[in-house]
Amino acid sequence: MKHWWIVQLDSGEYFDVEVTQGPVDKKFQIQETADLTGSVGVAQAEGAYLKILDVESNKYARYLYYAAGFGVSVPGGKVKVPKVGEVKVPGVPGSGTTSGPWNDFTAPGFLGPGDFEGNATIQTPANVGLGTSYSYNIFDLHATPDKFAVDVHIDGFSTGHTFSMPSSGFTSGHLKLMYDPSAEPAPFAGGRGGRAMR
Amino acid sequence: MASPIAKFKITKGGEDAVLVFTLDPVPRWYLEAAVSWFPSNGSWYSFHNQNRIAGWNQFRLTDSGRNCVAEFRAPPYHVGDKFQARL
Repeated sequence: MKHWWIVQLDSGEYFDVEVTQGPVDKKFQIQETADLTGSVGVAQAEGAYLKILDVESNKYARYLYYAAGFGVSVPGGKVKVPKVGEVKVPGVPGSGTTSGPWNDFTAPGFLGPGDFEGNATIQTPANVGLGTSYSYNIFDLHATPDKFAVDVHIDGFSTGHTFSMPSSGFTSGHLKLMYDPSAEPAPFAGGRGGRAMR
Repeated sequence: MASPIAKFKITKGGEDAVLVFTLDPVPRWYLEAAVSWFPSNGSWYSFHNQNRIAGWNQFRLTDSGRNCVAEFRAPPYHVGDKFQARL
């Protein structure tokens, strides 16, 4: 097989493949511990801290999600409130979300909680905001491209309370590992055993 | 020997074999029974390819001399999946 820029010259022979035994799955959970978005017009940037827990070993890894996309929200303005009169609601170019509940998913059993780096997207078709946790989110992740890659799809991804105007949006970016519980502490590093950044 | 994480049935010209993948301590593969058209063992890796237009993942088997043996479509793989691969 030869590769030439975007064209692949196919000189190999084909054979048939059937997957007869796949990796055995185990349970994981993911939690969004904090999320911030900022927007200019419909352009939006998003940063979030997430934890992924291996339910079996009860060890979790921390991740940073950073992404860009677009979003639209109800603009701020003057609202008539009975007995109060006209109230000015400021339009805020972004949002903040507090820590949410754990979301279940399954992945191949040979993976640990620190094996989920990869490209990710968060879709939020509907977000009530205003300090509530009423939102509909879809989280997708294509993780561990250096192993048997795994796709994680969570339709109905639960988050915490969001402080923003009602909004809708989509971001696409990367999930980066910040803390892996399986990483060995650096020699003579002192501090808390088992903590390592990479 | 490390326990298998996946098994593929591979077929060419009516001759088939079972390809076994292991991970610990390093990614390896081997055939349960030898066939004439495929090497007997080696290592595997998954990698990301990128050009100016798009990016895509590929999965490659190499023999013990690190020469490319075959390329598969990118994981994830599920039991019952059928596809063609290239020698």
